[in-house]
Amino acid sequence: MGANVSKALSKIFGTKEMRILMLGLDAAGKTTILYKLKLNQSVTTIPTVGFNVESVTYKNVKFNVWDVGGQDKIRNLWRHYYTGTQGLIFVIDCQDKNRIEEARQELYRIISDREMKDCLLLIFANKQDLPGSFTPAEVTDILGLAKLRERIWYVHPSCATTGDGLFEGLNWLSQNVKAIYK
Amino acid sequence: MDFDLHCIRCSGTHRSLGTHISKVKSVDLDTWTSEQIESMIKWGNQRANTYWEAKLGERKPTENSMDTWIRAKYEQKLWVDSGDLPDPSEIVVNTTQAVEPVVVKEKVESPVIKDISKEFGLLYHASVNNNSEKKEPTSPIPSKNISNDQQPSVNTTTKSERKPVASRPVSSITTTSSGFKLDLSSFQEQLSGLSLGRPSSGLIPQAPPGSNTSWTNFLVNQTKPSGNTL
Repeated sequence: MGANVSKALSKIFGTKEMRILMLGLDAAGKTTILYKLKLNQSVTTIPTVGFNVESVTYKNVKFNVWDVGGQDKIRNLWRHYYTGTQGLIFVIDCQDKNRIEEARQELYRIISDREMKDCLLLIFANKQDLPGSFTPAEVTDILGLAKLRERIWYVHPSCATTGDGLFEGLNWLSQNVKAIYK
Repeated sequence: MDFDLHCIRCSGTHRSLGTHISKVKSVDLDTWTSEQIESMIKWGNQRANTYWEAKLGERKPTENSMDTWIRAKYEQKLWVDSGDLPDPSEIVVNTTQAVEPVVVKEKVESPVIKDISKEFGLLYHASVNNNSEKKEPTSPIPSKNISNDQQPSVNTTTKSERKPVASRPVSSITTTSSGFKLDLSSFQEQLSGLSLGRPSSGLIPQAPPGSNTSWTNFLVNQTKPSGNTL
């Protein structure tokens, strides 16, 4: 009874928690996004060896965001972070047109893992400020997202250095987390 | 496209320029095609700098102006003699000059960064000679530079707050022997060990105090997320 009341109260007033895993090719902007969300500052990052993790609370949801280094040889480590992930943020460097196919392959490798089968998929079409970058629609098309079955996904344009689009992405995650975790 | 080596700190600035100007690849953590390795041998820092620093003269960057310097050199192409990238084999390099690793050291004065570049592996920067995009980004850039110059204090606090990111490889280097090398299997072992609460042997730094040696516990137990321990 008491537990139910507190559960109901936390539903109304309390904060929800969400485990978010942020992946993507190296230099896509993962660490910049993380610290823009956390500190609201545009930081110059160095390549992440290992991971960064920060909690960001937005609209009563506490996002525990794991940002794991994306260099070629350390992508094998990504799977160690899959367990319990409720939302995957996959960051695309929309200006790096030569490597978007590589990004597509990595994305499908991640979402085909059993541990990731239920998680939400948010794609940041990042670096929208740079000249000649892919639009979100083009990213959607190239990644073949329309063919995905049984996956809730969303592509949102972003610019990590200014912060444009980042909280809109988190908002989408918080609104859709109810759809799969009740 | 030309190839040259950079330390890990400068690689950060290069990454922020966008891939139309710089592509950064890690010697240790990325896979290299034989074509890329050949280009690296053909180019190297000295040859690349004869192109990028043709009109530079004796000026040298200071520790604080590195970011502006890199942008001036590669983005605004302030010191390039002609627009076209020459064939590296036609560039005459003065062999009495210092060899490449010294060139890298000249640019990097902080001993900490030197250590990282030595242990983590140097990065290469591939600049695309794209004249069509040269003009376009110049208008937003000066404003970025100005904001950097005007707010040095903001930048330093940013750096100190960002320190933990850089300190991971550093601390692992200092706690292990001089023969440290990023070994994937031991890294993985460490990771799974840490998630089980086993103490770190130094490859991955210790979890903060009060977390029972496990990063996982720390995340579950922490009352207030804190930017300076992570």
